Amino acid sequence: MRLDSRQKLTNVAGENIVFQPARGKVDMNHVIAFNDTALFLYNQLKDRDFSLDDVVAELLAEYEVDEATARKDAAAWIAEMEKNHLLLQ
Amino acid sequence: MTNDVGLRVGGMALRIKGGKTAASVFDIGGMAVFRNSPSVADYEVITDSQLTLPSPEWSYSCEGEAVAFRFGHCEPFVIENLLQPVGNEPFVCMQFVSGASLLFNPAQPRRVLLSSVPDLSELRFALWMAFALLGQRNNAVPVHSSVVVKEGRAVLFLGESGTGKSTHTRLWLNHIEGSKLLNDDSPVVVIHEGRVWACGSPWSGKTPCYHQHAFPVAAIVRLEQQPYNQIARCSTIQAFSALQPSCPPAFVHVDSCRELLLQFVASVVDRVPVYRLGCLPDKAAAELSYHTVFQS
Repeated sequence: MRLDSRQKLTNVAGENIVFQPARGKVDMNHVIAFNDTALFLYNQLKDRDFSLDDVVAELLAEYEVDEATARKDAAAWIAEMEKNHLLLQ
Repeated sequence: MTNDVGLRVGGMALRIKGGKTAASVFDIGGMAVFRNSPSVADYEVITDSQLTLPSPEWSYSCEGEAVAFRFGHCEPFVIENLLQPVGNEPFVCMQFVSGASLLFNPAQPRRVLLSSVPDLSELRFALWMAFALLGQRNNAVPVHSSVVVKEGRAVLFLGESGTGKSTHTRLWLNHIEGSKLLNDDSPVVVIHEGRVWACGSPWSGKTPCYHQHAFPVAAIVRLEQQPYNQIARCSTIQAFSALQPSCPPAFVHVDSCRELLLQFVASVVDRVPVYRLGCLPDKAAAELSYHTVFQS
């Protein structure tokens, strides 16, 4: 999978967000805010194809966590990216 | 003889150049209050241009009560002495259902081109859009809101159409002593020397309320109808999400406008407290927002 590079991460007033304009008349604009860990993963993985294992490896290299926790957090991050339309399959 | 007219809005001096269209600007209600000498302008709107938009791509459309239009971008092209594109950067464009159109080259941020716009409702809106495009690059953006002034400071009330912005500001005028209406639809918010200001404008919706004055903004309050009165200060992200939808909605759909707008919204919420007010249309609601903004 790959992050959608057409959507740009912007720093607004100290917060890191991706802004998604409304797609139709009934939809609203979406603001997706990143916490530090989500931002770290986003920056590490934004310009390449990656798998769940790559996300786990990034977390293990940066944070002091055991593999089971890292795997759970990696899956949660991927699910969030997917839910918010930030992933290309 | 020239038909050029001048306007001063949000601290920006505009020259409206051209023939019949420029000559009709002061037929629009409220414009005369903003009359300025056309010879001292920093920005220009050139009207009655022959505009044929090459390969337009529309990314936003709006069917309002007074006007209907599409907004997007088109291929850049050259008009001698008027339009000088840089590379392949697209132009921003707008077209009314009547066919009247507007063109903006982001590489020439002090100039907007308009076709002939005989309909005054369309011209009024075209000038709003022209101002918004020029102002955006000068930290001046029209914000859909109703604004009151009290003790020399402005409070902007935001909300979807029909939420009761005008109702709430009317409650202030009736119950908060010394409060005055500055604008009822689209004041210009300006960041100047690190401070956020609300300026009167020629665009005030159904309430004719036209003032040249500018006041520092004490707070921004987003309204929603509720069966109770309750107010809460927004976090940064909440504040951003509260203000952004009240800025020109078309801008987030065109690349060259989106980033500037988001940064403007961020700069404002970094400097001014933003609240969410759930409210009834009653005196207690006005007193709650007044006390929260002015006594905390």
